[in-house]
Amino acid sequence: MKKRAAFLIGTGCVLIAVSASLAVNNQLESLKAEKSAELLTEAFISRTTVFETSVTEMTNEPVPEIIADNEIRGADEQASAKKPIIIDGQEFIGLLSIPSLGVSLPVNNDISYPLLKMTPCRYFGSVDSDSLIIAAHNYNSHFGKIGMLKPGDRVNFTNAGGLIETYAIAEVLTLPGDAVDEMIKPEGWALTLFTCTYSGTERITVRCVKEERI
Amino acid sequence: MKNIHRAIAVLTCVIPFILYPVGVMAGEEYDPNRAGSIQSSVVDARTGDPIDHDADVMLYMIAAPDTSKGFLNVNLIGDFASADINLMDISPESEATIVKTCLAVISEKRTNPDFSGASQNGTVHFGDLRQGLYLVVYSGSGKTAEGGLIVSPYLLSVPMPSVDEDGWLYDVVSYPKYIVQPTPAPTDIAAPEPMVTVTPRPDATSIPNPTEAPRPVSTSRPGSGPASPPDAVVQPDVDDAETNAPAGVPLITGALIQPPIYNIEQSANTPETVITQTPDPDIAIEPAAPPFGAPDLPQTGLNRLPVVIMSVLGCVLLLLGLIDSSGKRDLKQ
Repeated sequence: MKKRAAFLIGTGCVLIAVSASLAVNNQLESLKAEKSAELLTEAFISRTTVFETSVTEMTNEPVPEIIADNEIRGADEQASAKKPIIIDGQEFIGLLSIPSLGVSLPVNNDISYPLLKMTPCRYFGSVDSDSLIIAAHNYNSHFGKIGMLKPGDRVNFTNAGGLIETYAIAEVLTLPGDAVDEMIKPEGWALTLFTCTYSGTERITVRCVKEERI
Repeated sequence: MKNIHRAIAVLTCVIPFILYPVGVMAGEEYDPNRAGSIQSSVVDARTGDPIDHDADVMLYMIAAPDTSKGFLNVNLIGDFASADINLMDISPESEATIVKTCLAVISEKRTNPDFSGASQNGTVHFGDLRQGLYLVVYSGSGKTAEGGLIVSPYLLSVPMPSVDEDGWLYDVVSYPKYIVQPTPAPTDIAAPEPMVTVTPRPDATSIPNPTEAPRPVSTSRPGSGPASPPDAVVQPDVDDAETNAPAGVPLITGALIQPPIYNIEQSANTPETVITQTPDPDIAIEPAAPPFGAPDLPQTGLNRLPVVIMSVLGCVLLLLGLIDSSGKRDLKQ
C-alpha cells in the first residue's frame, strides 16, 4: 500500500515537472521567436527604401502617396521590388501585417523548421500569381491568433520595394494536417495563411482574396 | 614523385570526364606557372555559325592546384572548400552531382563569380586564368529565332589534356550543349495583367529549393545520351541537348545536369517572350517535401496539448497518492 502511494506521488510529480519544463520551453521558444521576428522586421524595414511609411498602414491608415506611385516607377524598380531582401543569408520576400491582430512579420522565401521558428515562411505560390500560401508557427507573436480573424478583416503584404497588396479575409477554416491538396489546389485565394491548431493535428487556415493594389 | 604521379593521374582521369566538347590542337608540356584561357562558344551544329544569344556568363573557380607541400595537389577553394565534392572520384555521373553541389554552394553562400562576361556573337572569352577547375554558368537568357536558348552549367579545367593525351591545352575552347525552349504563341499565355509570370502549378511532391529541383525545360539530362543528328538542332521538342561542336572538332562529352529554373515572362503588349534564369524570388515555389515529409503539411504547433495532459494527469496522480497515503495513516491511527 505504501509503495502504491509513493508510486502515484512520484509519477504525478514527474509528470508535473515534465509538463512544467515543456511549458517553460514553449514560452522560451515563443519569446525567442518574437525577438527574432522583431529584429528581422527592423532589419527588413531598414533595408527597404520606401518602407518607413508602409508599416504605418498596420493601423489601417491611408497609405501615403510615396507608396502609391506605382505608375511612375521604372521597370528596374519594379523588378528590384520583386527581389527578396537578404538578411543574415536568408531571403525575405515581404512583410505581412495583420492590423486587427497587431502582427507584422517578415516572410521568408524558403521554408524549414528552423526558419519557421524565426518568421513565417512561404510555403507555396507567389504574390504575382495570386497563390501565395504562408505558414507560420502558432506562437502568439506569429500566427497564434489567426483563428480569431473574421471575414472582412484586412491583411497587407508589402514586398521589398514597398509595394503593398491588400487582401480581405474571406473565410477561416480548419484543415486536416495531411490536407496538402486542399491547401494548395483551390484556386481563387490570392493569399492563404495557416498554422497548427492547439493540438497540432489540424491547420487553422485563413483564406484571403485580393482587395486592391495600392 | 608518387604524389606528383597521383595528382597527374587524377587530373588526367578527371578532366576528360568533366569537360565539354573542346577543339583540340596539339598539347603542350605541363607548366605550373602558365595561365590559361577559356572560350565558350555556342554554335549551330549544322552550320558551325555562332548563335548570338546575348547571355551573361559567369566563371567560378572551384579547385586549384597546390604545390605548397612540395608536390602537385588539387584542392577545392573558396566557398567550395567545404563542399562535399570528391575530386578523386569523378565520373560522368558524378559530374552532375558536382555541378549541382557547386550551384547549391553558390546559392547558399551568395558566391560571387570569379569572372563574368557577356556573350557576344555567341562567344565569351576569359583570359589570363589561373590553373584550376572552373564552373561555367550561363546566367542570362538567350534568344534565337526559334525560342529561348538554354545552356546548362558545366565544368572546365585549365589546363586540360589534349585528346591524344600527349600534352596539355591551356587555351580551352568549349562548345557547350544547349537546348532551345520554343517561344510559345502569344495566345497560349493568359495575361490578366500587363506583365504575367507563367509558372505552372507544381506538383505537391516537388522540392522547393531552386538548385535542388530545377524546373526542367527538358525532361531528360542533356548530354546523357548520344548526340542528336544535326537536323535536331533548335528543334523545339527535342529532349536531349544537341552536340554543338562544329564538324571536325573532336568531342569529349560529359554528363550535364538539368538546366536551372527559368521563368518565362510575357508582356501583354508584345508577343516577345523573355526567359530569365532564377533566382527570381517571385516564382512559385512548391510545397516542401523534406523536411516535412509529404504528404503532410508542416507541423507549426507548439507542444501545448502534452503540457495540459501531463499536468492534469500529474495532478490527479499526485492527489490520488496523497489520498492513498493519508488513508493509510488514518487506518493506522
